[in-house]
Amino acid sequence: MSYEKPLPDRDSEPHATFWSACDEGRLLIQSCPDCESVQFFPRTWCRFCGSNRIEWVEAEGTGDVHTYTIVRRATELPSFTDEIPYVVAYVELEEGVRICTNVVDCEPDTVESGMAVELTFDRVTDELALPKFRPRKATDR
Amino acid sequence: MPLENVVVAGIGETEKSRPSRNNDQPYHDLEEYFWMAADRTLEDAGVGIDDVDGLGVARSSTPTPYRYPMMLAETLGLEDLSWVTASDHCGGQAIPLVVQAAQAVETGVAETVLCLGADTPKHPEKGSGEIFPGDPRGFKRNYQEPFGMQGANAQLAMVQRRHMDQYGTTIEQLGSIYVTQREHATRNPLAYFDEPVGLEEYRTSGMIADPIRLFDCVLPVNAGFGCLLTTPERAAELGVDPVSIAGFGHSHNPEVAERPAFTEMGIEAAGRRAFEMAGLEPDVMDFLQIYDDYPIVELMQLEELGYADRGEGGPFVERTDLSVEGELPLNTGGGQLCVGQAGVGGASFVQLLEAVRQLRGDGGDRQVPNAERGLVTGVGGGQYGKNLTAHSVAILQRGVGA
Ligand SMILES: [Zn+2]
Repeated sequence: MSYEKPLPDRDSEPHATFWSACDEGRLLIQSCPDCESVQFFPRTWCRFCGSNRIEWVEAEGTGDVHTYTIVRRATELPSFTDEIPYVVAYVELEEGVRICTNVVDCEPDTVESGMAVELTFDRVTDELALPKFRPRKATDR
Repeated sequence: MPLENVVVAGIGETEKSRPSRNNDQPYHDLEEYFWMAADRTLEDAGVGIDDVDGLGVARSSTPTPYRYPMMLAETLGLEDLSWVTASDHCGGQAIPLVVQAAQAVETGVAETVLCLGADTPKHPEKGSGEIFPGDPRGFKRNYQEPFGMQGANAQLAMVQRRHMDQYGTTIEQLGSIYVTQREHATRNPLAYFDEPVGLEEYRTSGMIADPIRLFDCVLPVNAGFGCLLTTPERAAELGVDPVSIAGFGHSHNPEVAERPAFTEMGIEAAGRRAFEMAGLEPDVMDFLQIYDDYPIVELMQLEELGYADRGEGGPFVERTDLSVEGELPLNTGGGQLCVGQAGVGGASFVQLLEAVRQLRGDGGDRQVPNAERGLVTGVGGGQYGKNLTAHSVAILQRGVGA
């Protein structure tokens, strides 16, 4: 069965680099050598100082749930109807950026702000792996 | 006062419509809404089309050709305009558009400027169109939609979740804003909703993106709006009740912090600029017309504009009577949550025009007694990983500026 959900642009930069890395199991964020800021989502410039010397760095893949929502109705993206209820969250990575993602491998009602999570890739097509997060046990810290 | 040679001399607002396959509500296209809004505004001010020498147009989310304001001038029969502009500030648009137009009149570039905003997010065959404009940085397509991020509803749900977790804000507190505005809408013939609802109906209105419920979500409608600005002398000749702009302030892209707070909007700076220009304090406002796409957005504005401390918006709305008869009347015509929001093209006109009505004493059975001045806000610009980012505040007052 074909994958009906929205696909990112994997052909043009900076998105191609990001999604190729995901395909290899690595989550990339960006760092600026001029002002030492980190940023996400990927851009070809630094949104803090305007530098175009932006560099890719691999994230550790740990963080916590900054905030989240449990989607109950697919008001804009009907292709997600079969996933309902599911959790969309902004996870704050150890590196200091927030990433829009899903919290998986747990009941939606058990997700909380501040919950410790870790990276897991969800391979949804042959070419696409989505970086998602799952609960991290306290002893893993 | 910086804008003492300009007043609002007329307003116009169409009925609201949500046409679909399942109803027979009327459908008009964008150009028809602009035409109706212009017609009503000119009639309200008592001026002819030939008196207009300036045109301001709010950019709609319904697609329009490039150089659309010039096309619209042709549609409306406006010739030899000495000033034309377009605004593109997302949901906050009416405020920056009208303020720009006021500056054109103030400086004598134009004498009589017609500002228009309209949008048609609902289509009887195509269903819902775009309420908010596309994806300027590509983050929506590339870094949100693959995860099933359901637009503004999900984004604001995450803002509200954070506010609830951080400050203990409750559904009942947010619901009280909605219930109050819904009652106000019953007194506004131009509002889409005309039946009141109670707190329980709000609470059980259907979960969309937890904790955002159906009645938290702004109501997309098709509509057109207009506002005419001219000099105090010309307004006196026309015999209209003038309303002036005592102060205004903007703050766009307010925050470039490394970890911007979800619960902070950044409208504080826009408010500070507006209050400073007017030489007025927040507590002298007779009413507030606060941009409302979701009750949580109103709550955060009350905090940032000086009505409640940070995080205290919930207890504030709980102890404050926000009704027309109360101590701080809020969105006295029902706000966009109950009147409807016409995409981004008509956004925040509901706030602006209701303020003008109140200050002219045209509020009918929702008139705030002795309304002398009031606050109007416009907000837009949803971004990745943070709150809204385009903010405008204006303080309107009865009569000509001193
Ligand atoms: Zn930089």
